[in-house]
Amino acid sequence: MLPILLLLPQIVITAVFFFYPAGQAVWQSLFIPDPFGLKSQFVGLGNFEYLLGDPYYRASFVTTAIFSGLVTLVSMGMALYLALLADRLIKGAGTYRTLLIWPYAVAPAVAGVLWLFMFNTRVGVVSWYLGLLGYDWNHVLNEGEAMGLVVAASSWGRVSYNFLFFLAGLQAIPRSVIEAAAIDGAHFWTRFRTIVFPLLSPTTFFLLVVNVVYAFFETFGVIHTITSGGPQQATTILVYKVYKDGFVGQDLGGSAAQSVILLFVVGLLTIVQFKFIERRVHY
Amino acid sequence: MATLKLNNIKKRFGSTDVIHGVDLDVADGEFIVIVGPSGCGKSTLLRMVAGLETVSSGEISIDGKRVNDLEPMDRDIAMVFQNYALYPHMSVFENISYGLKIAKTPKAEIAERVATAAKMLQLAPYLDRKPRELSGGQRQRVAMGRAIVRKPSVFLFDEPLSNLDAKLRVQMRLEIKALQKELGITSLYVTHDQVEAMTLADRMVVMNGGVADQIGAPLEVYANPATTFVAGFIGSPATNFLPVAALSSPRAGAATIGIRPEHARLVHAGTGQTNGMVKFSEALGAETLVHLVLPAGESFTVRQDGTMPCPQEGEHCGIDWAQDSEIPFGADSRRIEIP
Repeated sequence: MLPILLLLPQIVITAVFFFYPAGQAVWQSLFIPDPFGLKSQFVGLGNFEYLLGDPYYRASFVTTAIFSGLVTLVSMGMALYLALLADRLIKGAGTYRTLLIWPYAVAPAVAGVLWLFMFNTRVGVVSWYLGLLGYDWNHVLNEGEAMGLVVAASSWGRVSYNFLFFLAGLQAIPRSVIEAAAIDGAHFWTRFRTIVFPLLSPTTFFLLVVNVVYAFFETFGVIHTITSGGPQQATTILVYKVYKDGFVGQDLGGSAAQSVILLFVVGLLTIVQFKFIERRVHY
Repeated sequence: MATLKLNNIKKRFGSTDVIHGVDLDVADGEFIVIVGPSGCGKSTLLRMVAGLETVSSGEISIDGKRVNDLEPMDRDIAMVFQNYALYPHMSVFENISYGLKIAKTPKAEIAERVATAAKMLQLAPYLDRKPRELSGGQRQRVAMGRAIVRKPSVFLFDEPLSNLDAKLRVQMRLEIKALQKELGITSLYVTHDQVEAMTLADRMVVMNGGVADQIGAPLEVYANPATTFVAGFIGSPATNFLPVAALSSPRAGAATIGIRPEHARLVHAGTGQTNGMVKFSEALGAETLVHLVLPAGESFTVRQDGTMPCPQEGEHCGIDWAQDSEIPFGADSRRIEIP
């Protein structure tokens, strides 16, 4: 009795906030409700059939792949670069670290608004300077610029998180191993390529999985505040499309079907992650 | 093959002086052991020779060439670290050949040199293994292999045996000695273990608080320690020290005398140079160490043959020694010559 009692809070939370809504989504994905929400019609897998044949939905998959690939690459690349610099610091290392961790505390939506103000086509500081340089920045019309901006805003806060892990990973590499490589004749870049980066690989792989999941699901706020998925569909990633079709377009059945598909994608990513953690290289 | 010369080497960390000027001349092929307690600056000294620490003042030269401002890789040295510092993601072969590969040595030559080193170190069956699949002694050998395969001018060893168990340590000690004799490479070896220092060194440097107290051949240092520190540090059990005031007859100019445990013997109470009460004794088989307390409270150790009769705890004994076996020290703790 006691074990069940102790588990109960967690079970209740999981049931109320995960199993119930997930079950509802699966249930709703099998129906098409009428426009007034008075009755719904059972259509089996019709919603899924429609989605997979929809070119906009398939385009959203490609957009998501590009977006999450770029966010992962930019946020991890920047973080690794900063971690390498911070690892070499002798004076003031603590201050730099604290400053670099700050952006992580900023909520995605707030980060989105910050970047929006900087790049606003009329009042943005950065777009104004770009204008002085002769570049006409307009992410409201230009699809590439819109993608670039949401990638930058989403990566920015993420750099802090990745930085922490990379720095910890770098500091876990024994100093003497680096020194031995230096004595063996390896200069900084050779050491990084042949010793440091391979020894960081468990950290890198972990961050890769975590960042892809982040880019898939936690960037809603950024996209919503900056581009609302536009121009056209240029920045409509899967999660944003669920919201747009469901809450804006009122296609509740189709939206539910999309979230069921996303549920499978999460499941797949989680399996990859667990497989990796189990098999993680131990030195 | 090279000579190594340290000229008035000093090291400061911030405002703290850790090495106060060390001079050392190492001949070609010589095996020098730097020995001292932890914190005496011996590892720092070695790391300065390796180029892993900057030199605050003074000059280091290898084969007559000043190397102070050279990077570690340009000094033609190889180093064996205390924790071996093997590359954990590389096989034994890759570990040993790493330096050669960076130097762009032809593949055939790499294979040949690694094979020679592996044979010398009995590593041939393990070349495909990762360091984590090796025992402590084998890892130690891989670290040695990585050093010898590059044929450096100078070998540097930073307490290479302190992570091994006692039996393996004795065995590796002999192997290192044999290997160094065979290769004839000038070596600098840092340890806190005076037995390693005594057995390995052609000459040893005894360091104390950033100063080289004495440099000399092991037996010479043992017989004629230059300071009370050296007398107390080299030799186990340690030298007994007695203030001259505690002795029945004065010693001209000396404040303290040192007596090696093997030079003293137990006699009947009331005879001999001084008296003491037996605190406890350690019978080691071949020899017995008898620990006594003198009336003034100092402890005194006598090393005697295992076959000799051993007094009981609490028994009072006389302690005697030949006066010419005494090592006299002045008030400044330095050895003095008594005419």
